[in-house]
Amino acid sequence: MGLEHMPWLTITIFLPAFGAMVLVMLRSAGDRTARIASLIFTLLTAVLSVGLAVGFNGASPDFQLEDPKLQWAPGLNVYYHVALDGISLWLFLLTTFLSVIAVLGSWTSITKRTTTFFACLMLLETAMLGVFSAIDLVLFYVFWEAMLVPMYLIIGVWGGERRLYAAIKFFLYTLVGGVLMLAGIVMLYYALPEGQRTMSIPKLLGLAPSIGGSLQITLFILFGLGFAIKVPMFPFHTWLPDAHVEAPTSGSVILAGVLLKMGAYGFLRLCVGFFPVATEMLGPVLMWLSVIGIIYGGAAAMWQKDMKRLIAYSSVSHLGFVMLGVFALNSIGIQGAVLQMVNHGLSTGALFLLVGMIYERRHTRMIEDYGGLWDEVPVYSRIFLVVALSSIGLPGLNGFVGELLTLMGTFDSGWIQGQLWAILGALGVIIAACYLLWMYKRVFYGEPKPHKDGPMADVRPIEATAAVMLLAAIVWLGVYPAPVLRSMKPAVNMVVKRFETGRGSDAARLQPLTALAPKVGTLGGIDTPEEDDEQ
Amino acid sequence: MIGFEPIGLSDLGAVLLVLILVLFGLASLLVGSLFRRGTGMSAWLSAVGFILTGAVCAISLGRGERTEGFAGGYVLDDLTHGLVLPCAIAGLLTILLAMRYLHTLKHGAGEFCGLLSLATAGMAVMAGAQDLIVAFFGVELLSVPLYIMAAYSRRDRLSNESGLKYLMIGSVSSAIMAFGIALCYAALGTTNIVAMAEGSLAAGPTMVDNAFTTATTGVGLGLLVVGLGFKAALAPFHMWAPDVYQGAPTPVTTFFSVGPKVAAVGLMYRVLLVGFGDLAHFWAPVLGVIAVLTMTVGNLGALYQSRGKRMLAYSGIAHAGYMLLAVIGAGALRAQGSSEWMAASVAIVFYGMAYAFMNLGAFAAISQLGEGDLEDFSLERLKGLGRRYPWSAGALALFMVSLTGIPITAGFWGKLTLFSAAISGQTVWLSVVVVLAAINSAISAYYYLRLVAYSYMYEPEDTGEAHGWVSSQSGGWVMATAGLGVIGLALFPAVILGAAEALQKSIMP
Repeated sequence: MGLEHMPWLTITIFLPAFGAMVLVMLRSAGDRTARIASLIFTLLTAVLSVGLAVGFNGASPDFQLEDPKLQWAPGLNVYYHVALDGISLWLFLLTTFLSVIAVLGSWTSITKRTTTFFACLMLLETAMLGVFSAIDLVLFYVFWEAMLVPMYLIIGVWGGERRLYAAIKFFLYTLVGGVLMLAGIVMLYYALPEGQRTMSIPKLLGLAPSIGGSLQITLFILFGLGFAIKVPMFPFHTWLPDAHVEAPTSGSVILAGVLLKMGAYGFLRLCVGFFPVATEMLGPVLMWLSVIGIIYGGAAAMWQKDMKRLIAYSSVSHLGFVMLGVFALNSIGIQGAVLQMVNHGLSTGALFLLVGMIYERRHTRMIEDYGGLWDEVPVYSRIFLVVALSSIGLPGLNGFVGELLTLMGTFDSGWIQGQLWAILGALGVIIAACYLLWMYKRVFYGEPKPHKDGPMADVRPIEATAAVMLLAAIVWLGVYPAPVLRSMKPAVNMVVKRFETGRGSDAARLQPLTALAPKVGTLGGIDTPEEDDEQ
Repeated sequence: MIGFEPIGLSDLGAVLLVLILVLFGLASLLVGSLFRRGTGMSAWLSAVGFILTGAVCAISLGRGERTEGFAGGYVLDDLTHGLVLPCAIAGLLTILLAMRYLHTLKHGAGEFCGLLSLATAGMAVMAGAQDLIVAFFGVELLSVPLYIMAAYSRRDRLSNESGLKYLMIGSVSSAIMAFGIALCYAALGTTNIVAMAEGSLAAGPTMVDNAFTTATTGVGLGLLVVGLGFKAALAPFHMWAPDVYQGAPTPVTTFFSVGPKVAAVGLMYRVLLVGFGDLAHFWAPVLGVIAVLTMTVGNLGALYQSRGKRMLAYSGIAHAGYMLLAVIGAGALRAQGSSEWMAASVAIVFYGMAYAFMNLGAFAAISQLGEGDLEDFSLERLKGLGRRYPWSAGALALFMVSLTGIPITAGFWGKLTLFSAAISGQTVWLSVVVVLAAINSAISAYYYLRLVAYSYMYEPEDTGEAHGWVSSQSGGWVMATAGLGVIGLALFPAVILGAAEALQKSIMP
């Protein structure tokens, strides 16, 4: 088997899980070995994922890098089938990148049951990579739910004081959404005419939009509830602050950085893709909820005394922008949404990491316990400032591009209230500046608050490594987001085109939609030159 | 009705599974009661019987063969194989699990394994019954040994209560069943379910001929379902289950919670669909209500239990409700005149297998906590299990995740196939039932995960001895086998699901 015919995508997905098994076998070798081994495995995964990205043809809207599919459960036509397109590729890369950061971020903070912790973290990584690369609906669901148990353990075993409450709350909220989605998946399968029943996402993108209106709405709700809880959208967000506050630092990084994106990803890929008629009917509801989420999340963040809780609420607000972009349903909006997902993963991941650093030193996350850190820990303060500014959306840093694009998309969308939503959303940017800068002022300026342990140590080399990696990504995406946008554009345009075709109510739309269904490349799928002239 | 032809070799071939179980069971019973130190010997005999039965089932499953015996009263088809397989596995693992308990008994240890084999033989009879009389015989053969086993600890008050309660309820439900069968016979002139469906003996009335036959058969069917509902502990006929489960010795409870349920739901599937398919539009919605009620009652009941066996008893009730989904989906298809209803059988078989592994595993893990095998124990004893017994804790977590139905476990595929079997009926009320089932499985996560939380997220309280953790070797074997089963079925569900075609083909003559 030649190198180019190896199932690289599968290898990348399962390398962390393999690493977790290695860790369990090495459990007697000590904590340090566990840390180093997990760093090696996550780094290797990251390198492999970059390799995959290099082989990715950004001009094609189709699923690429496909591995040979294997039948898994006959009867329901479930296959093991993975591939990436321009949208999932970037979330895939974000996951492997943040996993490295998460390992670095828990280097010194996790001291009990270290091996098990890193094993959980790497199992989680496999599940997350699987969610973004699965193109079989049941496989997607399998990975989606497989994330729950490791995350539950990470929060529940290594979390803060109210960890049990937070862990079970996280689990139950997500599971309720998940099982409803499972019911939806099976209903969708049987809603297709006999002989065409399939679980393949690319095929379903062509077939599902022909399902009748009322059933489509039911299915949209069954799928959408699960995603809305995960995002989390406004009325379903209450699990998030608890989970974030109680989770250990790297748990928060992964939770905010990757897990929340899955909801938005699910909306974009499955809800919009499968149910255009329902999307058109329910879109305004989701837009209103997003706008409420932006403003409510921001306003709630303003009054938090706990830094982690503040960032958690800011996530609710930021994810509102993502959802605005997704349901703007035009190319700019969706590109902005995907970019904003990556951005939020980087900025918020970095914020959680930074808060984790001072928590490790002072064992408090209360804003009032800090003051005057500017002089006490100069390097830390400056890093924090850049990250906070990127989260606010300062031009030149990554947050700006994403927010701008989503708001432009919303303004320009076909919705009647589009301009109103864009204006209300823009308010959220101002609110973000208020709560982040106000927190920054209280923590870093003002009177230093002396502590019994003396002054804090500034960033350690291992922490600096993680911070520099994040900063580099933040600045790169702020200054030169073009490669990201360029490679996702064909796939995004396809989503929009399919939606435009699918939302019409005449039955004749079925034919063009099947033609628009993404092609899955030939086996190995490194190059699909015949599709190049599409855009 | 069973004809009066002489019994031939092909008849014996049809009841092969029952024969194996009965022969080894009787041998085990004899050895156990004749020799004072015969416990080990009789355990071996029973175990060999279970292994042989399981092997025959495993090899034959998926061949699509169909052997009728006793003038069509019993059939050995793939559904029979598929239903007996989990029961045999349950029997085998129960023997392993019971070894510690048997050694504490002063007398009667030898007969235990024999009774277990005979009860399993009853399940095998139920699994292949094509005649209501045969079905009744199977139910009795299953119940009588279980009455004895529930009260096995003679000096224990709770165990006696358990046995007596089970005997009373069991007898009443048998009587109800028998009355139901009699009514059906009165209306249709036959007890053979295939003949009932076709209109008995060529000239007789069918159940949809006139109002009299429809009404009488309907009432008979209702009583039959009530009787079976008692056996499978479906709500609202479940009230006896928690007390009986709690009082019986732990190995018996383990067996209770798996075998009878699988056999009863399997029997219900065959009888209702093959025999009473013409009335499906009537019974399918009723069963739908029963299923939702059963899982809700089971899950809500389990939510507030602080004792292990009682919690698993309620959870078992809920799982019987899930299994009914397949019967309901098939019934809805049958009511629409579709012949696709046979596809649901694979869901019952798969869930039976998955449930046998995960529930036995869960009991094995939890029974390590008891000081003996009799008393129920507080779940709080699990605190800190993860530290002291990492393997047991890991296995327990696996079984709990599987019972919740989260991937990557056998329980997930089980849930998916059941949902799929139900939704394949494609009516709105079925979708509602499935959504309710889905919500139920999310509720169940709360109490299943509490066990994981206890074992991983709490520190052990003071010393281990005070908590009475007993780590037995045979319990370890059960957990290992069950764990391999749960993961194996998760990774290779095609082992069972691949037999779907054969299952469908062989159900009807």
